[in-house]
Amino acid sequence: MLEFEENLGTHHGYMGFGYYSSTLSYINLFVISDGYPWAYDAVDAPQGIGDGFTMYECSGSIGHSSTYVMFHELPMTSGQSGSPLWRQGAGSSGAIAFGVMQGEMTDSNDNPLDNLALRIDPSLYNLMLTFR
Amino acid sequence: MQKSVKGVSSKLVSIFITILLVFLFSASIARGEVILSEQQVGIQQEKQEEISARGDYTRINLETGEAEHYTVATRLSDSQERSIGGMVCAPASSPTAQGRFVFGNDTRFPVPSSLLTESPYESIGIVSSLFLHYDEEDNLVSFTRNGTGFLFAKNAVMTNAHAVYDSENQVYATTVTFYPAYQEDIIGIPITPVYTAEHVNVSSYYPLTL
Repeated sequence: MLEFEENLGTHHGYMGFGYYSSTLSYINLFVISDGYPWAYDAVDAPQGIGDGFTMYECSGSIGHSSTYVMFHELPMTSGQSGSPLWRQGAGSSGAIAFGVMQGEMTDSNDNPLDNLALRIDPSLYNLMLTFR
Repeated sequence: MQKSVKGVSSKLVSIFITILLVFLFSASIARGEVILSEQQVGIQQEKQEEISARGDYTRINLETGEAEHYTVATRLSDSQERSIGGMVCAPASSPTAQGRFVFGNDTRFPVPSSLLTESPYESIGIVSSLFLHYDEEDNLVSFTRNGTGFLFAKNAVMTNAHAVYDSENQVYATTVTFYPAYQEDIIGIPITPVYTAEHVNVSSYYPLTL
């Protein structure tokens, strides 16, 4: 997390964030993610897209979630780390982030298993709340 | 006649049961997609054990390099959380209208520049970190690492720990900048305001934790 002296969120807005109490609620949960993919140093970039300076969006479902980590198959490459996984909240809640793009999980032979995202769990949620 | 009706009925029942069995079998296969392999379960449990103490954080002052440690519990105060449909959330805030643009499945493509001034795109940006460290021959080496971050409060941006901490050389970034909804003009000059972070907060257990 980064802290700034300026209240830049006053000018640029800020996303909501939240969590579902049960990790079962994340199974097949449809989410959207926006970030800045950087294709040039990613030898396994599925589509080889992104210059690191253009925002891209993708969407898809979370496979499943543990307490701290969500496993998903949304396309991701370098530069998208830190991107929010979000959904439109109910009513006037706006966009609610549930997770943060993290990386890839591989087995002991380095074969890719799943993409990982950090789940905003109750502990992290509480920490984020202290910045509000 | 009655016999043939009964025969048709029993056939219909057996067809129905067959369809039901096929459906249940298919459903169990579908559920299988979200069942972890044994290896995955092992990795997952290992990771969870590693991060069980994640309530501890280190806060680095990027200007002075001073570090302070804290736990989430010590920072908690009354907050305005709310629960909507089983989801606990803190709502978004936007100076503009709420964006509700959803693209197609599983395909990345550029967000139209016209949307970059709308929520939530206006709150998402590039995190650019400058790292300095001395190599084995005592030469000062610098490199920049770019990632993504998003505003979740008036003065706070969420990103990954590895965006601001280089675990290979065990150094924090010396300067971290944030470009919300980054855009360039036609000759490649940034037209987005840039903000320099004052502090970074990283789990005290990173990189053991995520």
